[in-house]
Amino acid sequence: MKFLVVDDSLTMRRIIINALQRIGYTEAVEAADGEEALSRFDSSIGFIITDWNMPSMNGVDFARAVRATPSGQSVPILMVTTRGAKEDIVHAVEAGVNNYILKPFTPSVLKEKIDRLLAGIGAAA
Amino acid sequence: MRPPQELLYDSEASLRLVDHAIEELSASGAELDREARGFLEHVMSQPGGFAELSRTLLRAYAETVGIVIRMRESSGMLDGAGIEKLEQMHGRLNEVSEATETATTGILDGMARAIALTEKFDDITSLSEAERKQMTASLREELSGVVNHLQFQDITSQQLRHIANLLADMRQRISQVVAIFAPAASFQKTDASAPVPIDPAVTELIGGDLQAVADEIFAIRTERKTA
Repeated sequence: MKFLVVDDSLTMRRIIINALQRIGYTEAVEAADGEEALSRFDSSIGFIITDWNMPSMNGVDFARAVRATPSGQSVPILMVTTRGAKEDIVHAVEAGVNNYILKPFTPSVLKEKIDRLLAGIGAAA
Repeated sequence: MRPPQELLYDSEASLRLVDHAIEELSASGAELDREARGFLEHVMSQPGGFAELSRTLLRAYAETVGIVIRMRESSGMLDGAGIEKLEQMHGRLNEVSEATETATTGILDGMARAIALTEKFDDITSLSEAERKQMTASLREELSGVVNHLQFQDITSQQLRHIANLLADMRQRISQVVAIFAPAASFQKTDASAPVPIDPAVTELIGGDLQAVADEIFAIRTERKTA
């Protein structure tokens, strides 16, 4: 499965990709903001992990844009962010985000969320 | 009624006293300075004379009142919200300091444990396969944990960006105050890059409570969807 990892922090992208490798997912492409991610998104992407606060296009707008594409209707989108306010979470859900992880996170939490989304459980959108 | 001759003598004596006093003042050097004298000579040479002087004084009064009003306005620019922002900056800088120390300690501890494991490599041939696998897994776990601690970089980066935005706001306020008193002075804006959005509530100290809130929201939504 190919992951699309979107975060304006190079450190965070490397941490997420390292965590994915630990849980067995070795194929990933990166993007530094929503616009770049949208250009890299295609039908080969099986899972999206995105940050919220990014320049050019933030994670919520990116999620909304993905959902508007033919191949983006059902791809799982997991948001990994520092935004913990309830209204932010609700806003993300309404944009098409399937689940949410707050930074700082542990690899075990990442694995749990990915497993649940791939099993079709815990997807709110 | 005093005789006219007597009044004349008294008047002459008074005038002599005044003249003597003026001579004394001149001798002591208590003269008007050149600028003031020049100003008075200018005033006296104007068609309006001392009337022009009164108009000038009225203008000076109006300008002084204007300056006082601007000083009051400038104090408002630096009060209230400005002080609150300074307190915010102080709080966030403390958080950054704490977060970096916590992360660094975690990294050092993880590296210490990893190094301890590598010291067993010399005797690795004496270990069973299960023990070798366990040791490899432990080492991988420790090193991955070290990598995970580096999340502090992203979070503290957001904190510092927020502080930079607050400083930019303070800079703007101060430059407005300076402009009141020195209109010719100006601060060139140095940061022309577009601001990166930040989360004003970002903190390294999020902990598990907010994740639990997020999980609850998604769980409720999933139940509604499947119901």
